[in-house]
Amino acid sequence: MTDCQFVLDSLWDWLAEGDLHPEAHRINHHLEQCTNCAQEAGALRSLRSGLKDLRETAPRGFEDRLQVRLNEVRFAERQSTRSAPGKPAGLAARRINVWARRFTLVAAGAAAVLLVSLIRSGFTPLEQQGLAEAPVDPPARSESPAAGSNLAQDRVGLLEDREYSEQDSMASESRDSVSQPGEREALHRASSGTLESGQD
Amino acid sequence: MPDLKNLSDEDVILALQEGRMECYDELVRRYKDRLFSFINQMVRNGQLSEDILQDTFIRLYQHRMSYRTIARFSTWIYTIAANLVRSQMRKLSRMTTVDLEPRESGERAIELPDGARPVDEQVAGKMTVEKVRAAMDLLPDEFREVIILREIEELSYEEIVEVLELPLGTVKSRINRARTRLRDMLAADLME
Repeated sequence: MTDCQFVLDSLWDWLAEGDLHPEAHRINHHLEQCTNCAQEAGALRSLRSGLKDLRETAPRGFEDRLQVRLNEVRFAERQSTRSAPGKPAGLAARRINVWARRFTLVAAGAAAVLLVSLIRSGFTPLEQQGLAEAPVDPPARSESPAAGSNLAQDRVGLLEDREYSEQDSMASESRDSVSQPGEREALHRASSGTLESGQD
Repeated sequence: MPDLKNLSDEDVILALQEGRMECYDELVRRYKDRLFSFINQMVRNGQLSEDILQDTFIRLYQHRMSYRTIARFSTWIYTIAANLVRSQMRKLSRMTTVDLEPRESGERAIELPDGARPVDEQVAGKMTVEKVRAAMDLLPDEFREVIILREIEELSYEEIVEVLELPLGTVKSRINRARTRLRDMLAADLME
């Protein structure tokens, strides 16, 4: 490629980039010596200038008209956002239902596995072990002397509240020391007699 | 927050993504003239160009969240505009080629650029803006598109590649051919 050909091919970019063009030095040097290429460079500079003159500006009032359209778009967006809430809520509800169903299945499966493993390990239900009634067996309380003593004290205490509020403290002291049912009845009889004699 | 005028396009759209609507106005201010120039050079119809320009900025608003900093904002917005222009020109070409209605006697058909007319007949005489424009109008759309982006909008080859989604070789080839045609069409004026 001759220097002229190279320069003519590079002129457009050289005009655009100036000294930043990688071959700027070579082109400048050639244009100083070659009249034809220099003339062509002048013609293209003129053409480029003519092209730059084609630049236009947006019509007057463009931004106002754009703002009107933009407001319409934003209004439509807001409308669609308002009407949308039903959609996500419905979607959320569907998702919750799906998860609830899955959870139920998982829970049922886990329960089944637990039951099978319990049976395999030798577990039998409470009814079969005879333990079902054990916790509420009343004789257990009456068999205990201490428990019986407490019960007697409760009953005598009731009598004291109702009938012996005005009796002397001696009866109360003897009552506190009672622990056997026979002694309790004797005390009761004695107290009744005292009351009757007092009333008389 | 720094003054919007001092921010790069990319920073401005990122601020717009954060909800600062004044950034939208700033981008419109920066690009309305450049984009209108590009669009109107292509479609040569002021009202239609404004409509496309409005569509471009409406799309900017609607798709503002999809912008990613991997691309330059300028190429992103030019891509939107270029796609709208192409779409519109396809519609126009269908409208002008499919004309089944017979014209009434007094009605004149819209005059379209005629590539068959001698170039010197159209752009003869001293070179003016009108002559350059007339020469540009004679270029095929794909040549006009690249020469506008390169010589008027001053985009780099790489940016044009991104905007038009064409290979670099195709872009360079089209630009060279467009330059040669323009140069030949305006030769008489250029050599005066």
